[in-house]
Amino acid sequence: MNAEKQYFALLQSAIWNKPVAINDAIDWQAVMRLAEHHATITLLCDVASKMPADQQPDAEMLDWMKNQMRANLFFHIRLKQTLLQAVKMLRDNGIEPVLLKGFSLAQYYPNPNLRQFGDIDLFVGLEKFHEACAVLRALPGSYNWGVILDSGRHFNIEFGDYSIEIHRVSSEIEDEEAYAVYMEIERQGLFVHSREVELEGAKLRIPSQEFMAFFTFYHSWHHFLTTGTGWRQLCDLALVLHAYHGQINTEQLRHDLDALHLMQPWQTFGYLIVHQLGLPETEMPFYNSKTRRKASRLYDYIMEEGDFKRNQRFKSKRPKTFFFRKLHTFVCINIDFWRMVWVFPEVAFMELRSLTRHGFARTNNEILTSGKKIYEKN
Amino acid sequence: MRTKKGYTLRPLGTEYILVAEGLDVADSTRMVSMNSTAAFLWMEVEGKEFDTQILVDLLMDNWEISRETAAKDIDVLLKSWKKADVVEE
Repeated sequence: MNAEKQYFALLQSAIWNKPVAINDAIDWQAVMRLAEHHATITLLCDVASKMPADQQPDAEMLDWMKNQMRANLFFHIRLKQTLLQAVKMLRDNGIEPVLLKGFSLAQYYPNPNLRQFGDIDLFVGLEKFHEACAVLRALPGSYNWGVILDSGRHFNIEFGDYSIEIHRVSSEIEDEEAYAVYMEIERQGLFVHSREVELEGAKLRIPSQEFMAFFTFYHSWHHFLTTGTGWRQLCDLALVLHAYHGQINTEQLRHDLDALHLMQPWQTFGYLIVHQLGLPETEMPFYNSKTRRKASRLYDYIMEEGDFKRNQRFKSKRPKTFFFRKLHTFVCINIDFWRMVWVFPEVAFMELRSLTRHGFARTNNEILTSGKKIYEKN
Repeated sequence: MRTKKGYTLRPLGTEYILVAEGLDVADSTRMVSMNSTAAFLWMEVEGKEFDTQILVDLLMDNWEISRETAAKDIDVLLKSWKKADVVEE
């Protein structure tokens, strides 16, 4: 069994809480490199620490793993405390936020403390957005905030190594037609059918089951198109689908995916979730074994890109001068386009059309504003 | 004595971490690592009045261990809990 297969065997053991099915010696260095690339380190650390001694990494690496898990737990606790303070302050002002992404997704893991995440995402909607931002500026420990007026979907309040993102929309969509469709999906999932649940001893509002499934996929799809998707995000989707198996209104989900032309990407992601992460076929809505070849290309793409890694690579090589920066972006878009054609040709052309329309408008705007972002600070 | 309020026991690998996560706990950076036996005892007495004898009995009821060894181990455990300031008289 090579390191990639070992990685998936360990990851499956972590997310489904089952024994590890590996008989050979584990290449821990290679496996942990993959775990780092896909933001799944702490999940694998947990599995490693519970394995028989003859399959565990050496003592030095085990100590390092223990510290990784402790650091993640500590971070999780700090975020939880800030989250509870933020929710209380908003509720005291008559605003009911809906918890999105990291913190709410962690609850689907066998041990929520092991899911890595970097910030808190609270959705308040367009109407309450400015009021919510004003309220949360008073949070103890916050030191910096700002919102990009033109396209910002969220307001960011920073606390050093983490932040609270207050969302007015749950996802940024430039295409007007798709935006209208998405806004209706969002209205149903985050306003009409959102639910109050008990998470870690606190009552918090989370999206409807359908939106949770849809958005977990949509968010990783968005990362796939922009910054890079890692296996952590596919683990999230696998666990959400497993938790809500039999409870999701699949007709609604089908309608939402079709309306945004996302059924094919959904099925391709689904193939990988079933075959790499071990979600039973019966729990994957609209599973389609015919996407195997497409999924194999997507697999290569994900293995190379990793969680946010494309973004890091893109930024690290970005020139400083305006012209070369734009040229660099143009080259990157072209590389992404030709790679995307290989996996999802229809989507690649749609994205290119959207980027051409909105990218030029953005560049034109940057020229007019001398490249300065407009921040609201008052 | 009693366990202090605001602490939660969280499993992590093969150990358990007692973390201060209640908003009423002043020092939220406090963490106490426990093995599964200590974690079991903590969960049994959490939020209740207890003394050395109760802990010794719990240990003897659940593990094959002599009273003398149990008393010695509980003495060490209680010292560590007191030092970590997670119990109060």
